[in-house]
Amino acid sequence: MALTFYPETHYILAMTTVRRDRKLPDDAAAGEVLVTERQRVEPSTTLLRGTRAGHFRVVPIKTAALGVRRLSDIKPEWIIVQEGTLVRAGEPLIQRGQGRGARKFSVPFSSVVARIEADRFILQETPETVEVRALYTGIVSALRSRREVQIEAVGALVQGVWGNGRDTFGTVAEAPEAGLQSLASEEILTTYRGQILLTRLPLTAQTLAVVERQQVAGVIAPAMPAELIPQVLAMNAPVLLTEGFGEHKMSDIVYNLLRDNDGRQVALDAVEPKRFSAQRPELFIPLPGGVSLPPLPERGQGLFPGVQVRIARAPNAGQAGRVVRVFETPQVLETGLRVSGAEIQLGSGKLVFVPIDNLESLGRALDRRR
Amino acid sequence: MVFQDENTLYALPETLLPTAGTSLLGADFGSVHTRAVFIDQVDGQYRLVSRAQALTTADAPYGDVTVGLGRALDQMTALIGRGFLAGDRIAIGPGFGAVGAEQFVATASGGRPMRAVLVGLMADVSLASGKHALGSVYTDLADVISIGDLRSEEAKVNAILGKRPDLIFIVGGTDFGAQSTLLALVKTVRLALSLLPAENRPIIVYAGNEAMRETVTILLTDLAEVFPAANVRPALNREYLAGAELELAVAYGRYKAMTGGYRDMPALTRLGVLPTASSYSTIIRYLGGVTSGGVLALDIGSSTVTIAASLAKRGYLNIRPDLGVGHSAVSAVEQIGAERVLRWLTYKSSVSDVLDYVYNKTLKPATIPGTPEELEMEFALAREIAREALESARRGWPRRARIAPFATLIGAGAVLTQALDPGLSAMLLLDAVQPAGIVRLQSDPYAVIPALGAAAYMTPLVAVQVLESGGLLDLGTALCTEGVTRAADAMQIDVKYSDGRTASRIVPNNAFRLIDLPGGQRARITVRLARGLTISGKSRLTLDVDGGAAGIICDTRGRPLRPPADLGKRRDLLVRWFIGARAAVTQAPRAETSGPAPTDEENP
Repeated sequence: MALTFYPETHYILAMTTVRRDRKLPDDAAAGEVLVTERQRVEPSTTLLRGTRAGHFRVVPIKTAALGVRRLSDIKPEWIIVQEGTLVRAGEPLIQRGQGRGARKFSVPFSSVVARIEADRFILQETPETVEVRALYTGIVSALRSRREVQIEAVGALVQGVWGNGRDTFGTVAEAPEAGLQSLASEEILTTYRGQILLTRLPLTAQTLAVVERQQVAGVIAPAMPAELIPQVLAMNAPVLLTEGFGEHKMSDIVYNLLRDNDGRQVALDAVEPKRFSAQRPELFIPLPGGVSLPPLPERGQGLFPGVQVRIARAPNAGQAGRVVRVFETPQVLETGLRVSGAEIQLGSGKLVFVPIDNLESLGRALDRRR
Repeated sequence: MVFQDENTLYALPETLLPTAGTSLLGADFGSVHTRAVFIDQVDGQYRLVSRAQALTTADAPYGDVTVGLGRALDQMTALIGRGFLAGDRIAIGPGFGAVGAEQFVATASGGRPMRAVLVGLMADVSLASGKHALGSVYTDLADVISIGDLRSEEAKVNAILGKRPDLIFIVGGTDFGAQSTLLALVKTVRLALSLLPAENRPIIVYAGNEAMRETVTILLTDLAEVFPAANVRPALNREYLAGAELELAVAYGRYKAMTGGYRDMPALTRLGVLPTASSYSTIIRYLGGVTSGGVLALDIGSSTVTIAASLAKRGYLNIRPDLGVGHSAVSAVEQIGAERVLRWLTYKSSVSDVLDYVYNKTLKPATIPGTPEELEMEFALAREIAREALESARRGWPRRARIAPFATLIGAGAVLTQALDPGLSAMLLLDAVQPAGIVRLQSDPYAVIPALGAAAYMTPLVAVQVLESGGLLDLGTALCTEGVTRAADAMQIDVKYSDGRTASRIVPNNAFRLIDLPGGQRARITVRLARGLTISGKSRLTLDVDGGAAGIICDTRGRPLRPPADLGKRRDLLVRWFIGARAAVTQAPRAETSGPAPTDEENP
């Protein structure tokens, strides 16, 4: 039995079927599903509506308002709400008698009755409404629950490495070769406004200032200094990095795929990677499918000759290639580390040895794509 | 094997104890890697037979740790020919013949720590002990509710609901002392629990006033799962953590079983998934009990640093979930400051470069340094992370023990154990801990400690025999000088090998040198130190030392280590240390003893 290694996966696929779960935020209560199964949806279609829970308030019962001295004097039938009842500010929770002479203990703010206890009410302040849009052009493939809907879409998929937590949908426009700085002049301003800017060069403080002035809908860039993170997180427009932090240029495989789809609409989901969340930023370009759906991205692909991979770290970071040979015994790197690895043929034809840990499969074997 | 000391006594409920068997499969689920070890009886002794690792698959898109474990087991099968699967399931238990293992233990350090709310009475009494107990498992302390807390009940309830804890740890009151104050807090907890959807309710561990145990259990048990434990503060001047730590470990296993990726674990092991750190604590306490002098284990992981120490036969465990060289690299640098990392680099770099490095590492924690510059950055980060973790661990040690020398240091985690070679592992460990005196250095490159610590609950002999039969890698014996000297040469060392050969070496001041002495061998050495320097308070000493993969490690760099601020000088010095750590001086020929001792410049 031969050793099989399983590298990380980083999806870069020219044509695939994706299934994306669109769900209410964790802190939102389940609400209503606004679509039906197999329904076609557009990026702006609202799929789900829920509520973000308000604070709980402890409201002691005031006996004086009811004209009684002791809590024990309150009769159960006077309580006119139940747990779960939605009440508006000023509406009574307890009412003694009828008509104009009725004595009432009213709720001071709009809320939901969460708990009724002998001496107090626990009320939840009226929750805030939260909506979830489709973001992808596709069909509703599954209604998972009142808080989660699955969308199926066909197109090109490029996984990023970092995002600023925003999303959008729009047309990609490539920044000038001279760099984003050259966009400062007013006459170009209207050209890029409302579009998703694609740049091959790393973002800098200077170029970010230009981006903000241009009021672009989003930015796809290879990298930026980590020091700019606070500034980018504060931006309204989504920013997605394809390579990482520092001085990296956009890798050819990503750039070529985006350039091939120049002028198409793109769903840009610039999720900010969180330590304990598996969600990753990505951009998706919806494309017309054929008679049958293209295959889903492959996960957990073993490392075999022919598999297409990307190199995750220097040297050769970002470069894609094909596995030529997998070494079962550790080899010595330039650093002196002895590690398991594979021989990779880069696009230029050059052969390089790369540790398994620094390889990412792209989601499909090259041979199977052909 | 004695798994008890004055502070600790482990006693798992009988129902949890699996039947003992002769072979054991251990799996440790880290943030990045799943490490599997297979232990079996060879000639009547438990031995580490094989180990393998694969990427952990707890999170999406897999959401199932057994996928990664299965891959590691496939590797093991490729290495030793033994199968571990029966169909698509891991074969655990008797009756599988030459397939699988009879026992299985699982530990985990990866994944989101339990978000905890601590409820108790006095800040420096029960709450302090509560925090100490929480330090034994992977928790993120989200809030503390106490009698000193001036928030209204409403605010406390909202705090609990808002923090969405996985665990509420209730402590407070001495045994059979006053109850009313703690009871009021428990009622607040009850109210908060009642407002949470059933599926979101946290686990409750109660370790307060013994007299209230039943009341608290009755009050909360219809709303949440309650784990009662012995009081962490049975008397004002007495802290007892073992009972609470055990229940917290079981609660951790329950929490893990509830989080998707570990749902198959209960079927494989009745012990559940134990915290990896508990294993370190167990093994270090054992080693501390059978060796003279303190023992310290330092595990630098991707997301967590664990320090387990045995000082004066008493165990101390410190977990820092905010420090690590992968997932926690960014929070680590936020704690230690990028400048501290820069002082270990031999090339020009900046705070901005360090930030870029750690952010990239957090994005791709499984990757390894691909260039010499990246490797230096990784080692620099590891050194400073370890320093930071040790500083915080020391604050929990008894004052006298803080300056006590450790007789044994054990390094764990890929950055310490899978360095270029054993000499470098030894140097990194010494740089991190900076001990003085004579220290035995070991490492755990096979990640066997997590399995042994868990196995000790059911078959202590497994841990004893595997540790005795080379389960840990001996790096060697380090001789670390203290003091300052102006002399060019710091140490002369004469080595008498067990086969009668001798060697003599001179080690310069501020240097790091290795003298070959293979593992399993002992040698008698005589050390003479330059004026101003001592080892264990002596300037001349003769002793027997154990060898190891690095050999005899001579460290005349003094304490604390201060690489020069000037880049040129720093480069010269660090490169010399690095070369010294990589080049073991081979055993000197017999004839050498008759001539003058060679100086460092003559060494390869």
